[in-house]
Amino acid sequence: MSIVLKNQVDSTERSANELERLTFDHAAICRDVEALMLQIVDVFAELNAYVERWQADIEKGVTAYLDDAARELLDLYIRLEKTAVRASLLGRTMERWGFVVAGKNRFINVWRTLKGITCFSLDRVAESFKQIAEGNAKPLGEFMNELSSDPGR
Amino acid sequence: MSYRAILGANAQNDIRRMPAAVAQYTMVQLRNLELDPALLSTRSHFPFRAKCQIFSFDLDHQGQRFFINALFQYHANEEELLISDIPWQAASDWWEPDAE
Repeated sequence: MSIVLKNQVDSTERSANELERLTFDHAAICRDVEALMLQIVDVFAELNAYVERWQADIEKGVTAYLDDAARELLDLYIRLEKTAVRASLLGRTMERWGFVVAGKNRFINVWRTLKGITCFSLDRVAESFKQIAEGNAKPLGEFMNELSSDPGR
Repeated sequence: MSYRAILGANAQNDIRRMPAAVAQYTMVQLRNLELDPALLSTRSHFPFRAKCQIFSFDLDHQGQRFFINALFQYHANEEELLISDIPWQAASDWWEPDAE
């Protein structure tokens, strides 16, 4: 686990904590909200780059796959997604005051991607691939036919 | 080059748990994925599975935004997509991107 990455995720949480405590009475706070969003986008990119290097090292046999390491990385994604939710609420407050949020679309794109990562359960995915390896699977067309003939749906 | 999607048991259960309209939409999207998985998916950064792809799409249904994510691997036979999981979340309050 990269200490730097962990500290970066910690930092996004601390920034969100501070911003939620502040009274929104001037535009400078809005700049801080935008900075938090940008920070989340940057930390996400660094986290992805780290995971790619980690996966490549496992593939090359340089690093052994450790379940705990995977869980720690997933935990960082989960924490970052939670902070993104908080940042989005701050961003919406800015918009209600009439401010334009710089970098909004880029941030939302990262947030959506984070949701796509964090909705998976580590244990369930392992179980799913085991099911497929054991032949507990069926073609999409067959499943669609089965579902369409299900009177319960 | 088109592929054939194979749904694992958990992926099937994920679809069964969806509202009917969302399930229908999901299956149409999976048909699209069969036609061009390279275009529609990206490498998954989900940390513990190398060589996984993720196919994400959204649907607005009955006042909710559904975020649907299919995790899959290319089969070694280069003819099939092995879809392991299709978890989804629904949100009633989503921050919309600005029109560009």
